[in-house]
Amino acid sequence: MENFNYDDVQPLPLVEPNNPVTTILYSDDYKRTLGLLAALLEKKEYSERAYHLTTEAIGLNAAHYTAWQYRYHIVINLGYDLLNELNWLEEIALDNVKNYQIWNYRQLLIKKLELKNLRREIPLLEVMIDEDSKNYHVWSYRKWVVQYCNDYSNELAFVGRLIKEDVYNNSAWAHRFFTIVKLNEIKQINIQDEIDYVLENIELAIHNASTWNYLSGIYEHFNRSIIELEPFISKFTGLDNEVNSTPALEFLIRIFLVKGEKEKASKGYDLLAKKFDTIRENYWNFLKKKL
Amino acid sequence: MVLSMLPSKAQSLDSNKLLLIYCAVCSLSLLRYQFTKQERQNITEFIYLHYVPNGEGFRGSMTHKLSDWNRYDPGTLANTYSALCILTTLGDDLAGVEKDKIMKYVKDCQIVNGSFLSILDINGHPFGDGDLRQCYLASSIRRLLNYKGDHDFNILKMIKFIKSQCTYDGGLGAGESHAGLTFCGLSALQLVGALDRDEWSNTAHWLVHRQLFYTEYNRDLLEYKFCDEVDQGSHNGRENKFGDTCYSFWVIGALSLLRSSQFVNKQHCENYLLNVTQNRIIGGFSKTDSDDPDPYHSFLAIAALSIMKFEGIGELDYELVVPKLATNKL
Repeated sequence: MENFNYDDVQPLPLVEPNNPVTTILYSDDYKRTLGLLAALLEKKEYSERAYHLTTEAIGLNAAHYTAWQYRYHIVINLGYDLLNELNWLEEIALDNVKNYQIWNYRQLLIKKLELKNLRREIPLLEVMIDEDSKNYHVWSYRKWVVQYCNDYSNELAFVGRLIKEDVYNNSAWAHRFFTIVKLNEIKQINIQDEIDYVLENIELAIHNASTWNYLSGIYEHFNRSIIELEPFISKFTGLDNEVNSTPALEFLIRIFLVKGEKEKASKGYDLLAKKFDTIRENYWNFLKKKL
Repeated sequence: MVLSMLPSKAQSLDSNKLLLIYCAVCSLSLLRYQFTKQERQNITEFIYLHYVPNGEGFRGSMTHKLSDWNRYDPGTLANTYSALCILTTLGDDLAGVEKDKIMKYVKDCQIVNGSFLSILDINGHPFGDGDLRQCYLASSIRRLLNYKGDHDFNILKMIKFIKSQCTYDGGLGAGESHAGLTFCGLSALQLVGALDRDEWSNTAHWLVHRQLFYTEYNRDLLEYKFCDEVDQGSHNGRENKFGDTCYSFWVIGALSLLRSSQFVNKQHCENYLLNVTQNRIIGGFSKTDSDDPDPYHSFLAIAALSIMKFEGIGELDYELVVPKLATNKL
């Protein structure tokens, strides 16, 4: 901020009543920066010094909704290189992993640039996901940007790597589902390969609800009958043997229901309610009664 | 404490300061605290200071105020919702707000896919992040204002958007099911009278599974880095994540909307909230057993306990997430 002269600007004072309900002990730096920002906002000044002030303000409070809007108007009005903005965002994204505005701002820039080049986005997204493999904002943004670029060619390899590192990563499975559905819209895929892939992963961690949910989702989306899964599932569960996977038993009950085997389903619910998943006893009893 | 002074590290929460006050006021009200006339007046006046001059909504903090006003000092959906909740809870009749102007603003924040963005920019175009949260805020504002005028938003488009967010496992979210977003979607539907419970049994199923329970039959899960034995009875927001106080509310609230909260094991949930994330020294509730208490998690813990009819806590309007006492007259 030192390089810019704000001598002609009177920072707007913070006007709070003498007895505010909730006050934050703002630092002097914060009060000065937001005061200057407000003064320039009143004048709608689009200038280099205003631009730097938004950097300062966002650095102090990345949730400042006006600072982002103002910054965008400045870069557009002054014709700044939007690619530099993308670079700047990459730096602050790493410091503010839970922030919404960063990703929204990035979308704006990408749309303005009509930048349909996924290769530019991938390194940042890889770093962010490696840092926090379940970051909701980053996964949502990735979904948006692959759709915007209409380029799904990297996604299966990407989520495949993440699933290999952590088979329990539900974000990766959800992204995989999105990818498979899209790929199938573009060109029909061999869904049996995908099913084999899930089954292999289920065997690696039989209590993993992510993979069981994924399996169920794929069967439903592609209109396949789950009855064919009965032999596979019987490896992990059954009504007579010691059940060793609750999600498998839940899946088996669904197969019983499709086959109209109500008595077996009822026994399954009993096992869940009384033995394997007693915390949801009320729920299993409710489903049993509904049979 | 929240209703007095916060340390400078709270600066990062400055833009949504009204949300903090909302959490504090509603927590106190649920705990049956009787605000004095003077307190009610102070807080009400303070909130109205945040009402922007053109009447479209409430800003988040006085640090964002412009004296020579223009739209660079806008209301935001989150802060407008918070302000209306606080005022309603304190018994204000909202005579000080212009309902048509607020709803016109909300309507203008709606985008082509049926969802809403958080503010209007200086040219009056929607700006910011948009998702199920913003649908919830828009629908709540509409209900809090009991709005029946000409500036209603496009409800059918919003319903369509919400339904498009339903994922393969039954939850709602931006690709991956998320309990907080699921609550927002279901509640927004309920608030506009469009929640047909029979349609959402898969969602109830997914929600019921958010309560964590480790037994001798699934102990291998505890080897996973996102599982912790201390989370017994808690709720997580997504599959294979740690339990977190706030999700007890988002899940139980969402199940209540589907008339299914009886499927939550209250005893285990209460044990988690009261004995794991409650701070018995300074009070309040934290996100997990290893964080400091904060207003957001404290309020949502109290809200969850309220739905479970915990003794001494007042009744909650779980659609709007304010004390029932306040919304009876809406």
